[in-house]
Amino acid sequence: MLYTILMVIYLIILAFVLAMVVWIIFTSKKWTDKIIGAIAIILFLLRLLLIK
Amino acid sequence: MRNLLENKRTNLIITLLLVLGSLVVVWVTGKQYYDFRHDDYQFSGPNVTRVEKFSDYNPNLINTIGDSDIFVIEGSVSSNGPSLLILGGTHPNEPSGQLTSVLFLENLEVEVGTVYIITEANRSAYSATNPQEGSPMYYDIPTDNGVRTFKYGSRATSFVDQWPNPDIFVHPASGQKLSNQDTRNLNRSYPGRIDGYYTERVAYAITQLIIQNDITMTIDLHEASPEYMTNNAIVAHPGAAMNIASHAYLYLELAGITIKTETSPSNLRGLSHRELGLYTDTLAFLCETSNASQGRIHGIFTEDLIVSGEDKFYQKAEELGLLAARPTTIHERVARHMATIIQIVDSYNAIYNPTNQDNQSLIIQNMPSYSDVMTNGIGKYLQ
Amino acid sequence: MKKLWILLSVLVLSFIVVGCKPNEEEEEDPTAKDIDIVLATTWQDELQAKTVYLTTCGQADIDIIRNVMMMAGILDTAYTQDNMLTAAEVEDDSVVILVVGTSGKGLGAAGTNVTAENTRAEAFATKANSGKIELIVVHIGGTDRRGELSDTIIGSALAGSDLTFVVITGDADDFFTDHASDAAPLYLFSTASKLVAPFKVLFGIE
Repeated sequence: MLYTILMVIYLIILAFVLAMVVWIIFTSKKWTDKIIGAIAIILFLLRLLLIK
Repeated sequence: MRNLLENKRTNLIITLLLVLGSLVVVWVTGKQYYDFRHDDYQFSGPNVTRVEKFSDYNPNLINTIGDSDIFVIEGSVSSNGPSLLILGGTHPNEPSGQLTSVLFLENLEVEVGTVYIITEANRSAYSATNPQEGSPMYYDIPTDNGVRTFKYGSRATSFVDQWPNPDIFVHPASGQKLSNQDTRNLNRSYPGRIDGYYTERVAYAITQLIIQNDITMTIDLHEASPEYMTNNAIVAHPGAAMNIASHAYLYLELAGITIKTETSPSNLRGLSHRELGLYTDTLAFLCETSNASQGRIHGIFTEDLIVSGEDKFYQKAEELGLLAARPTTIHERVARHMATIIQIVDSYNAIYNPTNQDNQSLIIQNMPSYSDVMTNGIGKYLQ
Repeated sequence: MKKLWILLSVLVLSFIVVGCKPNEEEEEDPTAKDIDIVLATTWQDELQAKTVYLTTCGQADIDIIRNVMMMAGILDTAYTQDNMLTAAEVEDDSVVILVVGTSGKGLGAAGTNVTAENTRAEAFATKANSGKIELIVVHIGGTDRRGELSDTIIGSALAGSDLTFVVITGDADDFFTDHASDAAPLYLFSTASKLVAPFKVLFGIE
């Protein structure tokens, strides 16, 4: 049961961080922020969908 | 370049393109990872009398990736008598373990006794590769019926199936503290717990399989990097198993197969040969062969490295005398495992049934010889 | 003309000197070792009427030697096996077959360490040198059972050996050859299974 609750909390945090990354990509005017953010989306999304 | 981003419209277009690019990468790689995880490799054998599941021995594995098949081959003359469990696929990055179990599954005939074969002991570890290794996900073996593709996985259970994991893994049965990584290592999880972490549940199922069927001998198949000392070896539980391993050593030596024997260490817990010998009545063995793709010295990680074992850095290391065992082809690794299993059975029979009384020996046949596999390759003997 | 004769003489003498050079192919290789040779007849039946113990210092390979003895037809009742046997426990006029070579796993499984094993080996050698027991040292593990820790124990055992059996891969650096003498002969074997024959001789088995 603890395992499942922790997993849910983890996924919520993950989704929140992913949302923050997307917000930064759209609002920032720096190339480095956008490119690094685009790479980060890949990793967070694969984990959020529990594919990798 | 920065001026482009000052313009709101251009900024938006560029951002959308980058996000779209990310989504394309997620789609392509995600599909690859998804297919790798959900590839339903079906193994079968012509002489299998029944197929059981891990969940028959641990209901907590029902409808999970860990519910592997257990192939049972009962003796055509009699299923009474000694039995053997061939355990392949504990570490999916040690391919000769699985390949050997598949070779037995697709060829073995049993006359007296029963043989249990597991080809994917840790199915979760077949759903991913080791992170940051850059290893192939598959490798091919040519057969008479065309090329056959096998999965090359990870040493440990996937994080998708087991997370979070403690920083220090306390082996429940002994209290020994092991590393975080070993929480996901099937070969540190024996005897297992019915409701423990995923990996412990799998270990529990295998332990129960042995206990409930009173399996006489268990042989766990592995590989080791060429620089690792316990190599081309039979590790045996102290006592009767070690005696059989020593007997097998001599006869393998007579057949020209150099192997060594090691006693199961008392100060490292969770291993199959240590715990299965302690918590069940089975005679527990673990076999190792030399696999270049597992080591730290090799160069680029290709499918050829897995199959041929050839690597210029390992060649140099061998010249410098830095290796415990020469890297070999997958054919030789499988041939060694196969010859060792057959000899362990013969040694058991010689020691425990020297007068050949009925139903007291495990009678197996129809396997190719060591020299057959070395000459023709494994593919000739696979379906 | 005189100079020509001198030149011809020098040439002829040179050919004679070259022609008398020994044939290199017939030179013996001083590093060649005799392996798998038959045990000397002086050892025939040597263990037949004696109390025999089988033990190990280093906790490696003793089960293989037990199987070698079984292959030789030697019954379990013909000897006593004790992996932690001490020199104090053996009778006078007995024979101790001591299997040497270190296994870290074996040491752990037996709950001992290199220091303790070396102490046991030294005690056996001392008792053998005092004439109270006969010590047969056996090493079959090749290079895997050699190294700093193994060699300490092996050296201690060899100091009292009356007869030594070694699988040749363990003697690549002549470690055992250098310790051998007429009083402590060394027999080298190509594989462990070749030890069956000398054990048959020792126990008087046809």
